[in-house]
Formats: sequence, C-alpha cells, structure tokens
Amino acid sequence: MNKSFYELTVAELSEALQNKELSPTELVNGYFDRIEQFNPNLNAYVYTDKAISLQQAKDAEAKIMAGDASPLTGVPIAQKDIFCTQNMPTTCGSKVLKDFKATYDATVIKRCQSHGLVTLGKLNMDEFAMGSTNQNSALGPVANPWNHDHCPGGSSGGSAAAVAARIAPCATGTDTGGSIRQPAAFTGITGIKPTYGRVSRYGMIAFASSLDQAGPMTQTAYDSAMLLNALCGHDPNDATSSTISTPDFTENINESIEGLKIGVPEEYFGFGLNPECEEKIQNCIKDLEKMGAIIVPIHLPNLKYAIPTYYLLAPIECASNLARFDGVHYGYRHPNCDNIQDLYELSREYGFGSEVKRRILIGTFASSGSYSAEYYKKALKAKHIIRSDYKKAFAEVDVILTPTTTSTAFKLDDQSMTPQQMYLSDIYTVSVNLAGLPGISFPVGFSKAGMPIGAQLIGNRFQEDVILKVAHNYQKQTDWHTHYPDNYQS
Amino acid sequence: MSDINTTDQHICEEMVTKIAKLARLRLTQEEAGEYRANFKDLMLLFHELDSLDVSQNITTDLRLINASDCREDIVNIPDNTHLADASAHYNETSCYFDVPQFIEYDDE
Repeated sequence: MNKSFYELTVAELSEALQNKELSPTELVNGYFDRIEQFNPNLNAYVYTDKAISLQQAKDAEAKIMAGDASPLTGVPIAQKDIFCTQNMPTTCGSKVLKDFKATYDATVIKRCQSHGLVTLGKLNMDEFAMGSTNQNSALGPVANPWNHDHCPGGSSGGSAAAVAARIAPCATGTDTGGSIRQPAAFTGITGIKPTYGRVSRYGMIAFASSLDQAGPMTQTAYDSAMLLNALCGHDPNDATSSTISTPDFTENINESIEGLKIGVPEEYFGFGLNPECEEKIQNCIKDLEKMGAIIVPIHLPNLKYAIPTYYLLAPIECASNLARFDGVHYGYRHPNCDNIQDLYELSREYGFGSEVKRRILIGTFASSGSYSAEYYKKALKAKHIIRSDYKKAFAEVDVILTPTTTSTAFKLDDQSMTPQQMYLSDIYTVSVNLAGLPGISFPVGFSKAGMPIGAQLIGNRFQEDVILKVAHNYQKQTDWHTHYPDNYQS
Repeated sequence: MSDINTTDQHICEEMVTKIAKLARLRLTQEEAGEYRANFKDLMLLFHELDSLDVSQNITTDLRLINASDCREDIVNIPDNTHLADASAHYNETSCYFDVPQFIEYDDE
C-alpha cells in the first residue's frame, strides 16, 4: 500500500479491512494520534472517548473475523454534534445543551452502528446549525485546514475540517440551507444533501424541520454513495421519512454520462459570483462536456426569491423548535431566578448565542398574529413557486450544475459582513432545500490563494444516484478531490 | 424592491423588546439595539417578496396525513364539538384554537 492509512478513502479502507491488511483497532489508534496532533489548532472535534472507539473497533474486528461484516464495518466515522448519542454528550454547539446526554441514539447513529462504523467522536458546528462560518459555536470557532485564518464554512464546519485535514476518513453533516455543501466546497471535500425524507431526522436536533436533512461528508463521491447506502431508509420514528425504497447507490455509479443532459442556469452566474470561482466552474462544465454530457442552458427565474423565502421559513420553524429549551425540561438553567418568567427568559437569554437569538426573534415576529399572513404565507407560496421552477427544469434536463458558493472561504472574524450579507452568500444552496431536492458539492479547483472551490450538482427528487454518477465520473478524470493541505501530510 | 412600510418601521424601532418577551428572551439594551438594526435590513430583504406574483391559487396548509401516527402524546377526541365549551377561542372551521395577536401598538 503506497498511501498512509489516513490518506485512504472509505472505499480503500473498506477493502483493506476486508482483506485484513488493516485492523479497526489500528485505525482507531492511528486516527487518535492524528486527532491529538492536529485538533488543538483546528477545534474540529468537541468530544472524543478513545475507550468507546476502541470497544467499537473490537466489535467490528470480531464481525470481520466471523465473516459477518458489511462493507463499512471497521471504517472510522466522526459525527456532527447535532445527533443524539447515548454514550457521548450532545451539545449542538450550544451552551444551552452543555453536558446534555441523550437517553437514546439518533437513527443516523444507530444505522452507523448497525453497519459496524466506528465512532471517533463528536464534531463542532454552528450553534443549532445556524451559521455559515462555524464561528457561532459556543465551543469556539473551527479553523479551515487550508488556511487557519479562514473559516471552514458552516454549519457542518467541524465535519468538513476533520475530513479535509484527514483526521477522519468521513463524517456526518446536516444541511438546512447548505450546511453540508458550503463547508464541503470551502474545504475541498465532497458532501451530499439527500432528498428531503431520504435520511431519518429522528434524534437529529431540529432547526427547521421542513428543510433539515442529514448526509455524509467524504473525500469522494463514491464514498458518499457507500455511506448513503447505510444512512438512507424509512424510519417509522420520523413521520416525514420516505417510504421509497433505497437503491444501492454504488451500483450504477461507474456508468458513462454520455448523453446525460446537464442544465446550467444563467441566474447562477455573473453578478455576485467571484471570477475565480466562475472560471473553475466553467472549466468543470467543459470537462463534463468532453465526457459526453450535453450542456443545456436553462432558467430558474425565481432564484432571487430563495433568500427572503428561506430566511422567513427557517427562522419561523426555528422559533417553534427552540421553544423547548426553556430551562425547565433540560439544558441550561439560570441559577438566580425568583419566578418562572425569570427562569424562562434568563435561561434562554444566557443559554443561546446571538445568531440563534436573532433567528428566534425574526421567526417569532414573522409568525405572530396577522404578520403570519403577510410574511409566512407569502413565503410558503414563494417556496411553491421555486419548487415549480425546478420541476419545469427537470422536464428538460437530468441534473443541474451550479457553483456551490459565491466565493472561497471567508476570513475568520471578518467584521465587514452584516448578518444580511452573510445570509445572501447562501444564494446557491438554499433553493435546493426549499425544493427538497438532492444536491452534492465536489471540488473543482483552487483559487490563486490556494483555497478550494466547489461545484454543485442538483438532482431530481430521489435521484441521488444520478448526481453521484456525474460527480464520480468527474473525479475519475480529475484529481482535485485527492488534494489535502501540506501541513497535515505527516 | 419595495420600501419598508410604516408598520414595519414601527416594529424595527419600537417592538424588538416586545417580540423578545413573546420569544421568552430578556435582551440587554445593547442586544436590543443591535437586533433593531438587523431587523431594518432584514425587512428590506423580506419585502423583496412583494414583487413576486403569488396571486395564483397555491395551497399553503397541506398537512401530512401520517404526521400524527408516531406521536404518543396525541389525544384522540372523536367528537370535537365540546371543545367549543372548553375555550372561547376554539375555531370550528379550522378545528384549532385561534391565537390572539400579541404584538400590539401603543397608539392602537
């Protein structure tokens, strides 16, 4: 084997484990050495317990020896700290849930365990998944492994940084408005948000229930397909979980993309898009064309309404979902309260960070009394119109290709951006959540400053296999996904 | 992009602490000032939707038919009629309780 263990993809690790060239215990020890070496500067992991990881590795080893293993048995994975775990604390990046230990495992965690994946630890994130920089975490910001002065994106910034720095071969993330795809683009990795309903939300702490969806973050599209095989499927504990059967996402991934129609929406290019990002996306389009894909210019005329629609709907749902964190049931309770009103208000005031409070306020305002008709109902109608635009587009094309982000990763502590400007940077990702569609971000190059750039493929409902096939074909012809920062190559 | 109307302007400047009360948050004066400024920007953003034609008949109250299947805390009440006796706010059309508008203006 020419590569070090930490450079191996999930598919390569799987093969090495099945062939007994590597053992799960060796991998856990190796990754923990790297976590010890690199995490203090990155702050990607917020919780690890080597004893638990070693026990899971031992169990995986027994399954492999007994010939009872799945392709993922023994592969290490790190979990975003939004998933409830019985044996580790779950903070969701918030002071409100400091030291909270769930009484049950999220379905995503259970599915990982049933496939024999070994948990390395829990990963940092923006508080309650609200943010695009990972600076909104009560547990401190995460650094981008490519340049520590830059953020890794958010909200799954810890997941992205861990995979990019090769201190985890894969991780879970969640995506409400781009929280898997944007950090994947900012750190040069691959991340997929499945169709809404594909992966169970049971035990995943809710931000905006109609938009939240979990997915894998990996080095390659093939790895994402392998992990989706484990994560997807109907869950009776989640009323919005789809009953549509889950295919083997790796089955047709090697098929040619010749003749496949790729739509390129005009509205995603030009104003607001960094020229370096545009250049790399255009190169990617040319590469896909060379592979036999047919490029079709399309229009998504109502894209401009996606940001106001999303930033009305998501905060309204957030205000409702976060009402439960009141200091009574669980979580932070303010110590000096004379009455129940003080207890509620002070616990929430001191427990939540400023971005969470901002969104709760927006959501409370926009959903109260008669404002609900002016804002909420209008936003719901706009959501319907945006979905219709995509429906029309998919009558003409098989997938849609766009940039993932308007620029490369933001600088940490960049005070020049107001919350509104930060929200506007989500323009390319939020409409995918509003329409409930699957979207994947994959690396397509680097800026002159050496920061990664990502492209996004959007698929029709429940057609993750098509976007995975396109991304995998691209990765067979290019090597952007194999790059990782020099500082982490030891 | 349309301008902020008078109502929204009023909310931006006066109502942040009232909204916070409704959201069970006790903001500091500094925070209230910061959020007031954010609200003004965000109102402009939200009013971009004013230029979208939403006149077509779009249903916004679709409910999942199986949404209650896994909830153990749902009380099954076969006859809703007596709910009207339980509260003056019961709405027989929607089968929900009407929620009063909490945000009021000093000059109303």
